[in-house]
Amino acid sequence: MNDSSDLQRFQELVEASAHRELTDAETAFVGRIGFRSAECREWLEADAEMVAQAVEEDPLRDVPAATSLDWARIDAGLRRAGALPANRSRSWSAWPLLPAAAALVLCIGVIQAILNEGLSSTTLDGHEEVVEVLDLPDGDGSLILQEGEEEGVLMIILSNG
Amino acid sequence: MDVEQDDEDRRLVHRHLSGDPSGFDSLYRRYRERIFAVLVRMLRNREDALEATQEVFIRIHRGLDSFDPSGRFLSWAYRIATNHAIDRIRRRKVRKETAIVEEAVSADSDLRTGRSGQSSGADQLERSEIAAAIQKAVDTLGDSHRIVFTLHCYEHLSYGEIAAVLGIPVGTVMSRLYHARRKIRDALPHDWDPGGPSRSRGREEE
Repeated sequence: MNDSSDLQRFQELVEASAHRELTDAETAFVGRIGFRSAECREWLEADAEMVAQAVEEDPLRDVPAATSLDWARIDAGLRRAGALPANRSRSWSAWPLLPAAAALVLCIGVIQAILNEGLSSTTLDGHEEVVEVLDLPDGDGSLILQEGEEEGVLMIILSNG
Repeated sequence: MDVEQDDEDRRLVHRHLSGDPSGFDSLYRRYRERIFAVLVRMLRNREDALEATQEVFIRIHRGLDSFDPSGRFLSWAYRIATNHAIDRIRRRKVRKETAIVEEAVSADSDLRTGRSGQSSGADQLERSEIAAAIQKAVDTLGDSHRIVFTLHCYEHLSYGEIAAVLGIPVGTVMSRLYHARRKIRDALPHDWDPGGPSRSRGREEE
């Protein structure tokens, strides 16, 4: 087959592919000749330059990058799915002794306090002491009395608790 | 796609398969931006693309043991991403997102090219007109054509690479790309001149 008939067949097949599925042999022919023949390639890419220049004007040519917040959301989704290691294990692995050290300091502090002060200071004798009993005048706002009550008494009770 | 990068990818896959989670972690951080970008272009919707990025990496994580190390990891990942994009497009009608276009136009004008301050109102109008025409045309492309078009015109993959990613013959890639380009060309404003006066003026100013 000569070049001009190759070109013609190539054109026919490419045009036909808009309306029907090409056979395997036809597809193979298009691929083979499309690479081999400069003439066919030129015809195939006749619109390429114009379209490429139009694409230059498309805002999606350069997609605005996803923000760190976007990535944080995706990272979280991937962690939930088990695709990325969990955050917690990463932070613990960075500071493996920190929780153990904190617990140790706390224990030493408690033991030292017990040794210094003993346990007796926390015991209470349960004794309650009445410090003062006040007679309140009517209507002073300190205590709202029901109508008809003659006097009110406020007991302030202090206890060592 | 270079050889060193491919080898490093294979090492990371191997590390993951050996039980070291840092292998997948590194692959994810290496390619998440690219996968997100390709999904944005296919779905033409930022929120959808973010969701899809997460789902694609979950699929990649689950399927890493079926990755053939004689192939390229990125081609394999693109394949998962494009299949997933097709699924999403088919599953539900993708919301039309104009916000991302506006946002991207703004970023494009102000930050990337710096043309905004210098270009005229007419220039801006023309650019947004072209952007709208492309978006409309791409939306009308069938899934298979849209994906080939996106991989070639935005990701700059060759015919052969697209064929490898999608697992289709090169001849199919060629014919799909031909029809996609023609649709885009037909959708452009008839009076649009790629080398128009505003561009010539811009070049002269340089």
